[in-house]
Amino acid sequence: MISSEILKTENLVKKYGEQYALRGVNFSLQKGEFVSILGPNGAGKTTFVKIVSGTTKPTQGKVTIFGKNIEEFPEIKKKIGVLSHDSFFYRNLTGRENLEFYAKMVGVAPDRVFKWAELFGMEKNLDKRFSEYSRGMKVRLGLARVFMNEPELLLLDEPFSGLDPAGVEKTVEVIEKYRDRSYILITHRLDIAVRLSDRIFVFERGKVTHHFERGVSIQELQEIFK
Amino acid sequence: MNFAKAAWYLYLKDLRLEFRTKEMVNTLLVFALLTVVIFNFAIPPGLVETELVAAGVFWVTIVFTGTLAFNRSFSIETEEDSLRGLLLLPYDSSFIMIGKVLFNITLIFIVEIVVYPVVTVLFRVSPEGNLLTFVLATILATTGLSFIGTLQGAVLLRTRAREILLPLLFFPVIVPILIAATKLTEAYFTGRMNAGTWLKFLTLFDLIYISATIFLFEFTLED
Repeated sequence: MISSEILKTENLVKKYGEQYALRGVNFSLQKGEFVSILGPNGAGKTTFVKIVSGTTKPTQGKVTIFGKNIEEFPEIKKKIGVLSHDSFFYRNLTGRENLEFYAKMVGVAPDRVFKWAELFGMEKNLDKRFSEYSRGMKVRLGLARVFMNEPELLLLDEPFSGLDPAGVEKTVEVIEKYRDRSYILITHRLDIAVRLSDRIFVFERGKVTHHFERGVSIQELQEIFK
Repeated sequence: MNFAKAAWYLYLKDLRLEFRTKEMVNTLLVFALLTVVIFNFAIPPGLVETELVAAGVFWVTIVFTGTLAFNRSFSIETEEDSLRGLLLLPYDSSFIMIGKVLFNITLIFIVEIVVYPVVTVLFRVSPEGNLLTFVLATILATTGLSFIGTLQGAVLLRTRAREILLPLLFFPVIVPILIAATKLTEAYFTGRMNAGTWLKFLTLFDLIYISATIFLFEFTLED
């Protein structure tokens, strides 16, 4: 049951030099809600996630997350899991060492790393160096890192990119298993967005241009991107 | 888990990466030894008082080598944007600064331990002063250099020509440390100087550099 707002952005603007990445985004996410963000490349989706997760400062506007300003209360980040295009891992460490490093950093017992790696089918590859991983393996290890400390809010930026069909299905299964969390999913996979989302936002040129509730069809979404 | 532990785990991670690849230690040591040898060829023994030259050569070598270390210690966080991974951790970003400073201090100490005997042999120095003076000077100077070098490494992280820009920013700023450390090392080599004033001077500049780094670091990581 949706009950309370955990994320709110008000008139969020981000400029890089003279270039606008975001032009006044108002957005909210309720506890337990699954929101997908769609949009062409360069629409500002990733910038939005960077600002919400507290790694980039907005030029203007306000972000409230779990009722607080993330800059003033960095400990809130413990409740947030972020998957990005880049893995955040170290090429010369093994998958296990990478996961253990982040586990220690967020206060998760390193022996629980295996459980999360297993969930994403990475248990047999944990002792390989990260530099030897395929793109799909990197994403799966990244997902294990994101879920490891069981965050309340998950920001997943293109989690299906580079995954084979089995990997995509496995990831969707895990998301469905942990569906009691709140999610912001950035994806180009309209089918998955429709399948999982309570609401879908479309970003274009730094603004929210469309907003759909659960029940929207893939065809309706495809019409927008024609 | 607290801030200090996060800094410590970051430091251990950097050590583990370094011991695995030995990229930095090998490069720094070869560079430092070559610098000392070149100085040795350039300054023939007997023409000048070698104790005075040796102290300068030692610290100039450490400063040159330091610029390589300070650049590299942050660039390893850009390969898979792991710096952003660190910024997503639930701590104030200054844990990154502490972890990196500790790592840079370790690297510079390793270089100092290897370079010191080479300098004393090549320049035929038999120290006559108080060893404690030299140890204190080395600890203070290495700490000051590492703080300000780490800050500048972070400032230049997102610039393309950081390898060129770091020495341009770093060398003018660390002149007081270089002078004080050289004077204190001279005092140790010759046994002729009162080190007290220079130790106070070095401590003062350490405090200035540490304060500046703590205050400014969070602004360096802004996108």
